[in-house]
Amino acid sequence: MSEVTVFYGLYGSGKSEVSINYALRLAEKGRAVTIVDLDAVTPYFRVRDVRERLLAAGVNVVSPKDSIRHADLPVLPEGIRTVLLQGEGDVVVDVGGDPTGARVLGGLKDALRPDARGLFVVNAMRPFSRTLDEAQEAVRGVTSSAGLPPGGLVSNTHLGESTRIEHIAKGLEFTGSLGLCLGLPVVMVGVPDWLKSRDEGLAKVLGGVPPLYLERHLLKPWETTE
Amino acid sequence: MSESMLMKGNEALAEAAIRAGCRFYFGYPITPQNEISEYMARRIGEHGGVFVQAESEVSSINMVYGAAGAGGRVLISSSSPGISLMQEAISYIAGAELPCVIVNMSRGGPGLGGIQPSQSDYFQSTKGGGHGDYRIIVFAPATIQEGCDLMATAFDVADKYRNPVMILGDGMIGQMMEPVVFPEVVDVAGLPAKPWATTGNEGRKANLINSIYLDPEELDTHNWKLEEKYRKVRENEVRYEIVHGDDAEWFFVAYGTVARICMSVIQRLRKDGVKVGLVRPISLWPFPDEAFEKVVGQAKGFLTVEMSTGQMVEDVRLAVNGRKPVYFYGRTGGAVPTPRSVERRLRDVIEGRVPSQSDYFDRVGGGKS
Repeated sequence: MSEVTVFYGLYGSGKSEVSINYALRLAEKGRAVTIVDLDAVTPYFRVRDVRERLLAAGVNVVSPKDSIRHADLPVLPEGIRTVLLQGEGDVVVDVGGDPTGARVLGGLKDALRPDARGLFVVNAMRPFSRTLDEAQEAVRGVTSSAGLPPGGLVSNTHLGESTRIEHIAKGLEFTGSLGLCLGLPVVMVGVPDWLKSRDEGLAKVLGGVPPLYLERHLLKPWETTE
Repeated sequence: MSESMLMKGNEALAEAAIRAGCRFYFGYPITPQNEISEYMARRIGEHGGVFVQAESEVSSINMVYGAAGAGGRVLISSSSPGISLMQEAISYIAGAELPCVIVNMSRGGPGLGGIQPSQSDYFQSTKGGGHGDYRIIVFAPATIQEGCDLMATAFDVADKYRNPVMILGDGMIGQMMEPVVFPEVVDVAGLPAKPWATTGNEGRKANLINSIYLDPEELDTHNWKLEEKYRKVRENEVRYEIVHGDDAEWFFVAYGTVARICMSVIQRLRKDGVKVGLVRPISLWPFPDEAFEKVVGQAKGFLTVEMSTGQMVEDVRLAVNGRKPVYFYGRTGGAVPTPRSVERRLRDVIEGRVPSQSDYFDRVGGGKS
């Protein structure tokens, strides 16, 4: 049974890295998967910037074509509707940040399968997500703008390269509380892949929530080996 | 608050400005710096501040002129073409001796250019973007934490010299995320008084803010007074970092994003035993000539790397003053030099494959590599 998974949230919560890694995991399991770059509000660090790598890993990429890849306009990729309506295999949708970015999905509501799963990504060390009140407001704002009620939360609290196991733990606790407020399950927790082997206490911290190990793909220029 | 937060450069600069006592923000949208305006629109009101999105860059910078004249701590932000539009008013603000902080998250030019990162506004920022004999003080952060710290400094320095200060980033500095610890919140009421501000004339003669001096003698006097102020800025506000100044034989010269790229190249080259270091100007004006005095004796040469066709390299040549060879490598238009290409260029220089720069205008560019 194929699935449609939509990742939305605030700016900088890590939606794109989560989407990329989630799509790669599906592909590794041998599933046919398409990732849709629906981010019309962020100028850098987008799924389209690692298109080649995704294609090489067997992930189909739907993103604005190269000639308008850097256009300073809210450009949507061709064929989105077709992919959402008739796409074969799994579809992973990376939505732009904030209610503004989520509006794009709102405009495609009629093309979404009724069983599409909206997952809200939370990084509790980002602005506007640091209190339960703020975070609830963020969930309401983004999901109503997207026209897709959330089916669950993704705990993705991190500090980039400085992320420690305590941040994961603190983030899970926060996201858990947010889930209680909203009546939503925490379905996944983002964990930087370099923490996987480093900490034996990780399983205890995760407490049964499935981890999504995150390899960073959207690199700063000095982090590349090119 | 000493807790780390993960911030985009743009958001972090906005938060740092509020913490530094900024209560007035004016702007007009342009990529890649819109998160500054968005953050200010949400947050500055919580601190009793004012946010106005004007109808154009020209309007917004003239609002800065007014609010600065009234004694506020004022921030404006834009990106390259927007900053170009503001140059007339920046000249007025400098001429009228008013403090303000301007953020330029620069992008590729000339003209409309593109929205990817660039450093081709160095000339505009450091050599006088508008008319007349004036300078603006320019700080270039290489990390988001440094950007936050420089924001607090920028407001203090602007007030001290009553002159615009620019934080010159590039799109990458604005868009990338790094953990930051914010400086303490400044008590606005405790900031030094501004007796020159136009705050009403109760109990004193009205203050007048102007940049018009029709009498040539008067204007000449005014200009030399400004120049005396800039001399003090040159004396007191030079900022730079030297990396591996103890043993380096070759030095990269780079600022902002490109300095980060050079740092990763330095780590790689040092593993191979190459004695390479970095001179990183933090104040682009005043330019840190002093840093070069410290290392020119030991240096075999300097390789300036920029996201431009060669702008800062002119100041590097002035500072080095013919004592050692100065080489250049650049990419433009939003193309960012890759660590590999920078490494290759330095190896070419060291191994004598690049002719010494006899012609002042002989700049070697990147091209796809």
